[in-house]
Amino acid sequence: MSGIGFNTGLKALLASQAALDTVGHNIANAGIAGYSQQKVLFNTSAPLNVRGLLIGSGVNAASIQRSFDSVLQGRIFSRQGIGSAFQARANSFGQIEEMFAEPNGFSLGKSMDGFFASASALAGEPGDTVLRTSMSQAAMDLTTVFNELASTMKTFDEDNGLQLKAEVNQVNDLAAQVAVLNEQIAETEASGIPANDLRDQRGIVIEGLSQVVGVKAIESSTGSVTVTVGGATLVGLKGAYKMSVKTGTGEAPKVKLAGVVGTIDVTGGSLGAHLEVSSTSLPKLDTELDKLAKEMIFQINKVHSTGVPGSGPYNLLVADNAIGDADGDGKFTDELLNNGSLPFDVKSGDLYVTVTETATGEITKHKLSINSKKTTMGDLAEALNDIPNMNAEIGSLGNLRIVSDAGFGYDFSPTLDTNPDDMGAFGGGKASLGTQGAGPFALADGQTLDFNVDLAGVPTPVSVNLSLGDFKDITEATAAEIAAVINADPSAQAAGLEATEVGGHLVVQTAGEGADEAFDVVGGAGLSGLGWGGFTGSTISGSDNSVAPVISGSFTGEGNGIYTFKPTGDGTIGTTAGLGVEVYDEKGDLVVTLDVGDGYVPGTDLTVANGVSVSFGLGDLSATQGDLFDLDVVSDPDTTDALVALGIGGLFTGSSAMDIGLRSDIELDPNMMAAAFSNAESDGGALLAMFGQKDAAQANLGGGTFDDFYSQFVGSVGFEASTAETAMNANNALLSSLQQQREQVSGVNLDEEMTNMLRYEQSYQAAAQYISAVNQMNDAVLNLI
Amino acid sequence: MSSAVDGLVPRIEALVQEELCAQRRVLENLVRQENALTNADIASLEGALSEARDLAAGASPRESQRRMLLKDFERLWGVSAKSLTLGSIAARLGGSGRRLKRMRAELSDELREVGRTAARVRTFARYHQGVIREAVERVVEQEGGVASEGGTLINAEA
Repeated sequence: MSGIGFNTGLKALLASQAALDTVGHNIANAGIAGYSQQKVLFNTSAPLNVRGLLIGSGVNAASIQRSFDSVLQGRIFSRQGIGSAFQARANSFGQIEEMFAEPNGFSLGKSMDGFFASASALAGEPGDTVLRTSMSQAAMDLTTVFNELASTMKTFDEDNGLQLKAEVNQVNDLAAQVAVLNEQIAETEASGIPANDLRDQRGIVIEGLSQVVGVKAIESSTGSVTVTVGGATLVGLKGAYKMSVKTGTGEAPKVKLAGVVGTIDVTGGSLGAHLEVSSTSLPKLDTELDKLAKEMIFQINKVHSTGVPGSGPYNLLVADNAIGDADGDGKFTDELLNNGSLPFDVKSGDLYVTVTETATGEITKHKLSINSKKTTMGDLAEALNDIPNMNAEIGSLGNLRIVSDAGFGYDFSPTLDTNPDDMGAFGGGKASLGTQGAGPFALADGQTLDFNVDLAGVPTPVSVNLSLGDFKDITEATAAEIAAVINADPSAQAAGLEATEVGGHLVVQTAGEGADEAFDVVGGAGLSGLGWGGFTGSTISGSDNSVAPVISGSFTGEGNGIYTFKPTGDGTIGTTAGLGVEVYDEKGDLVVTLDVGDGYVPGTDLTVANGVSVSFGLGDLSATQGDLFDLDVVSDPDTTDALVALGIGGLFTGSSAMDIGLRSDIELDPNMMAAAFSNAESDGGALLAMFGQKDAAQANLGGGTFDDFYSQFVGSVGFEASTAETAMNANNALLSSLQQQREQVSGVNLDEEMTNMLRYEQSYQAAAQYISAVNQMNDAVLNLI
Repeated sequence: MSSAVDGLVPRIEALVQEELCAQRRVLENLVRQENALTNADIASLEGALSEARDLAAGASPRESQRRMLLKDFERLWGVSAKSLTLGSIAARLGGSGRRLKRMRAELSDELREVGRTAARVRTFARYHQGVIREAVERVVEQEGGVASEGGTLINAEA
């Protein structure tokens, strides 16, 4: 019996010792993150059977249990992953925001303002060299800021890539630790001992893992946890699987796990945030910045390429952008302008080329038609080559090179042809006969046009045969086709009879000017088709005077068109009463009738429309003989955008924020900057048009201005940063609440533990004292017995 | 036997019976304490100790009654009260003391059991007390104090 008593007491002492050790353990770990309070669980020892009697044998400390809520811990892991992601995202966008911050960042907004302000200032005094230098500098500053921003963002992306690699290493390290702890816990618990402290350690490691990558942890019956990332196992029952990340310029980083086919979708933790920044946010910002730079290049170059440099028309231009050899045949001539290799698209439309004779200032305008689906680089070069005094060739790298002959220059400006009647078909000195109407003309195969040209008193017959093969459709012959046939005819050439097309009309003229020049209209079946049947037997004479209309002003109307000038009757400028000049637009609508009859002083400017004026010299006009001239009125000399696409005559080079630059010859000589739309020194039209782009709605930028787009761009960065920060704060509040709950469940309250100990101590002391009291009391009773 | 003695016998028997019951209660209380200690059940121990205080409080009135009754026997028999025991009183009472003699034996057994149980409880309590003191001293030293000098035992920040 005494043996049983001794055993009972010993078990009690051991149980008590375990309880006290646990209290001491709790106190010692009270300040350690992730430590879960432990409690001793007691159970009653199996009773001893002594001769049929079941005798109690005391108590055992059955196990030491962690105060732990696995569901709560799971939510904490999840929140930590989310919080860490928000933190990393807020940090990343905070850094990006700093790049764009005005005024301490790169100040793109300020640079854009500076550029447009300098254009506006120079427009007032286009000849001012200081202002020219200032604008060149402002343009350079703007390109530098774009370049630096793009470069900084690239560096940021590269740094982000390095950060990703470091985080993946961290994940691998932590995953390996979890795997080791899994083994240790399983081994310990297999022997029936709860591995409380190892579990706490593993919890801390998983928390760290969750902060980096955002994980889910599921515990198995053996005590091991399986950790998954993006649905794939990172730590399994057989250990950790190695994570890797592939980063590269211009490529979204890819995370892989050993043994898993394809990439892992990591969204949580700092790794998830950095992946998102690298794969989505940063490319989007890059794209937006490039979009802004590209649109700036396009709009400013579109204006600049159609301007005239301060130094006058160009003699040499080399395209900044080369056409690509898309079909790989080693030739550029057969490449469509719109083959996709140029940074901007080429559209169907017209390109006006103005050639200026340097000595006289005489200009001629030429319209080249471009079909985006048909025109090749070779076609364009050929069309340019066809312009008198212009030469074009394609370089070995695919760059178009345009050179003018000595004594000539060229540009692509909308400048008006000041002397549009080159042919003298409008009251000129030549003997001239024009059709009343514009083509097409109904002719027939085998018909002739018969003239007799007076060559210094000698009648020289001219008979032009109209053959089917010379026309696309002889029943609908164009003035140009007929003029080509006449000009090719040997008899016409011998007689010096020339033909030309003016606004669809056919004009036949003598080569020389003066009252002595004349030709007879003899006959031929073709005359009636041209409406000249009534002239049969008539003599067409030249004149000693020439009306020689002079155009002034700048066209301010919309679109590109043609003004056709026709006299209202036959008579002499400034003399014949009621003589007028009607001006028609390209649709045939009458624009204005100008009074050039009695009272008109030759040489006086008359207003036509849309900023265009005309003056006429003394001379005779004949509506009967079909006098007329055409004037190209152009608001957009390049509706094809071919100049911008090829990089001809632009202010900026490049097509993105990274490669935008100032054209090198402008950098060296600001006089090469196009300020005007004409050869006039005081013309700042091109600069005003560039300045106008500041507040222009840009369709490719969502209909806002450059400034609007940039403000939205910067605003979106700020929004992302503040959103991430707000979300992070909200998440932290939630996490804090969860951690508080965990503290209530798992945390060690040092006060509580100490109070418990003192309570135990006092109780034991009281018990011991009571025993003394009982002994004293009983001594008296024993004395009585 | 005189009628005066006859009057004292029921009183002494009642007093012994009362003491016997008191000792049984003490024994029960000690068993509760022992169980509380062996189960490390501080709440039960505190409950038992609270009851023990009431039990201890009952000892003093019983002592006074005992002293008065022995004085009465002293006056009756002219024998010093200090030399009187339940055994000598039962012997003097002769046949009338048989019941008292039996009760004396029961009380003696009860006291022996109380003594043994009390000794066990005291051992447990002293052991627990020693461990606790050691743990408290360890903690207080960690906190930078000296237990013997009375440091701050409770970490107010925790």
